[in-house]
Amino acid sequence: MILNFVKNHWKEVALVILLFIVSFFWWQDHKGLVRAYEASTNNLEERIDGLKESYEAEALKREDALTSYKKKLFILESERMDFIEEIENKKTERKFEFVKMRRDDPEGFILKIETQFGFEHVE
Amino acid sequence: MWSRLTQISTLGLVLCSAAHAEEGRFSLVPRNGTVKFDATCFDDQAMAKILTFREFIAVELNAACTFEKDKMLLDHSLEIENLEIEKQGLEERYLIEINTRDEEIEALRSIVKNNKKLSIPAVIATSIVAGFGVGFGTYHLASR
Repeated sequence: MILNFVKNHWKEVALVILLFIVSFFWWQDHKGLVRAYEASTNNLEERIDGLKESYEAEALKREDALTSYKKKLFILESERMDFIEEIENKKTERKFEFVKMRRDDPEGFILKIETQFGFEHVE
Repeated sequence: MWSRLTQISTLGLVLCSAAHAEEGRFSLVPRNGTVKFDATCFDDQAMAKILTFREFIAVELNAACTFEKDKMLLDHSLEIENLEIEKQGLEERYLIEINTRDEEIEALRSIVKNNKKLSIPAVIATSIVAGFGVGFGTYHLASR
C-alpha cells in the first residue's frame, strides 16, 4: 500500500525530501548565524563588564587621590593657622618689648627707628 | 673762580641735606612736649605696632608665599595624579577592548570555518539530485 502510494506520488515524495534537505541546511546556516550573534553578544557583555570594572576602579582611585589631597590640604592649612597664631604671639611679645624699650632704653629705640625706616632723629 | 666753587659746594650741601630730610624726621616727645616740625604723633603702642609690623612683614609674606606655593603644588600633584589615573584607565580599557575584540574575531572565525562548506547552489543541487534519486529508487522498487 505504501509502495503503491510512493509509486503514484513519487514526485511529491521527492519534493518533500528535497524540501527537508534544503530546510535542514538552512537550519544549519541559521544555527551558525545564531551562534555568531551569541558570540558577539557574549563578547559585548564581557567587554561591558570589563569596562564597568575599569571605570569603577578608576573612580575609586580618583576618590582615594581626592581624599589624600584633602588630608594634605587640611594639614597644610592647620600648619598655616598654627604659624599665624605663633607669629601673632611673637608680635604681641615684640610689641611689649618695644613699649618697654621706649621707656627703659630710648637710645636703643631711636636706633631701632633709624635702622628700620632710615628717619633722622631730631632732639 | 673761587666764588663759583663756593657757590656750587654750598648748593650741593643744601641739596644734600634736603635729600636727607626727605627720608623723614622723628622725635621722642614726652607728654605735653612740643616738636620743632609739623608732625603726626603716634603713642608708644602705635609706634611699637608699626615697628613690629615692619619687623615681621617679610616673615609673614614669606610664609604666605610658601603656603600658596605648597597649595599650588598640592593642586598640581592632584591634577597629575588624576591624569595618571585616567591614562592608566584608558590603557586598561584599550586592552580590554582589544582582547575582547580578538576573542570575538576568533569565535566568529571558528563559526565561519564550521559553516564554510555550506554553499546554497550546492545545497540546492545536492538536494535536487538526492530527491530525484530517492524518488526514482522508490519508483523502481515499487515497479518490481
